[in-house]
Amino acid sequence: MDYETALLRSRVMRELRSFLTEAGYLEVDTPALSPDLIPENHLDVFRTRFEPPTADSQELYLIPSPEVYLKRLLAEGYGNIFQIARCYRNGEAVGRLHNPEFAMLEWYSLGADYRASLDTALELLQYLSKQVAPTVEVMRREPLTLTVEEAFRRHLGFSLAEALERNRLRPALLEAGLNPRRFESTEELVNFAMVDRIEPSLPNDRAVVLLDYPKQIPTLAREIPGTPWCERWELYLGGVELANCYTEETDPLKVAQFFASQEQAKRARKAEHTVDRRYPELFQGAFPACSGAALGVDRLVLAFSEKQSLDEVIYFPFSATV
Amino acid sequence: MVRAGAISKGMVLLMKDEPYVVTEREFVNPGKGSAFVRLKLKSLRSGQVLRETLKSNESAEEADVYDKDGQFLYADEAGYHFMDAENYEQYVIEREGLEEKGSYMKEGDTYRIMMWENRPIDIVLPLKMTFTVVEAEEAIKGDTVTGANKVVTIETGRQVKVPLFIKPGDKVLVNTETGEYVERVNS
Repeated sequence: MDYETALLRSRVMRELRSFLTEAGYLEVDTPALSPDLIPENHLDVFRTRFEPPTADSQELYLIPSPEVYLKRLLAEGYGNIFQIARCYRNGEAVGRLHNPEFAMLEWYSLGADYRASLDTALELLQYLSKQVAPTVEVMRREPLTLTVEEAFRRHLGFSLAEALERNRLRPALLEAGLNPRRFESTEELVNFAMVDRIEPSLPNDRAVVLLDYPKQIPTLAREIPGTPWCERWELYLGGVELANCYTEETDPLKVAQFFASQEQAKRARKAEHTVDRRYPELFQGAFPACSGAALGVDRLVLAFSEKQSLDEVIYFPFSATV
Repeated sequence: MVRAGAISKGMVLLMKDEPYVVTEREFVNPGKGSAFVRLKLKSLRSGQVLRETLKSNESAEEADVYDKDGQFLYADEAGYHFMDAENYEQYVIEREGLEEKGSYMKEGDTYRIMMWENRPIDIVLPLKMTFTVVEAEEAIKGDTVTGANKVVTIETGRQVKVPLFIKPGDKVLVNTETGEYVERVNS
């Protein structure tokens, strides 16, 4: 990383903290090592062992996100919180947009839903770019916000809601000229359509927000009653996925169901880790209604620096060691 | 067979029974869904561009290609004429889709030729090659802006953007993928 980018990176970190602290969020720094994690089927984790001299050794994990700890703090009544965490994801290819260790901002807003978090995220981006990268092209245009349903209509020519209701997503994708090969589950088909057609079609000269994801993609986002959607958005900057947000599910039963389904999927592909059996109980008591968002800090620096690859915006990128 | 997650740029895959070279590869790990590899490929026969999205645990078939040395003799309307370095047989590779590479080739020099089913299908250039500058404008006096460039012509006739201090007769290292000047070579 050149010195100019290092300076930009330092300023981004400082201004992130400044904006959120001013807005009344408490900065926390929870551990990177954890004895248990929230099961999320598509995340592979780094394992290590703690070997104390006087007790049995214990398996520990490097966190793939600070969520496991931040939700405990929310349940304990810490209020609006944020963390800029080092996160670790195993089993992902190293590339232009991926490094196995990365910096992530995660913040939780009490009493807020995903749309309120979106306002905060867009204000945060505006503030940051004004402070640290006032000339960056991608922040000069108004963000484009569209629902996943609108994106399907616009870029694939059919209604996702209708296709889901009539259980004909696969034929609809084939008709739209995609080649979904052996993909079968709704989750796989939707993700494939997003990656193959929708994401590459989104404008990359501005921020783009996709709202309201189908329920069939399992997450801890709250469902919108009477619709096929969940209260979730993703934000793209310069065509790159930058942030993800939910209105958090707070129904302990739904959380427990999510844990069970994800644990089962992880076991099926032999990627299990320890899960705190009592974790869903957090949501039985006074767990506050809230919205949580996570933003890739390295990718943000990448967008603001107008560089091509994460290698150019992080210290000692992993790719240099392989 | 190769796992999609292990596909890299420059690899030659068999798609629709034809060899395609991978020109772009992007990993997409949405975190909330399975990981994908987004590929842009170019047919080594027609130059046609193809986009494919594979799940990273899917497999793709590698095309059975190999390289051999060929001496570049000359170019004409029919294409680029080479001589096999081992058996001295001459053959022609059509220009279509290879003009960019052709602009770096020097007559008499030997290059790696990619073969598929006993036919030459591509020319593999070194990533960086040295060229002699044959024509260069004088640097404009008083122009001291750092990073200022001028355009020179190298021995193959190709034009390259270089720093102002480069003179005719200088040798320069050029990146053959981007066409960019790398450095002056001391001879």
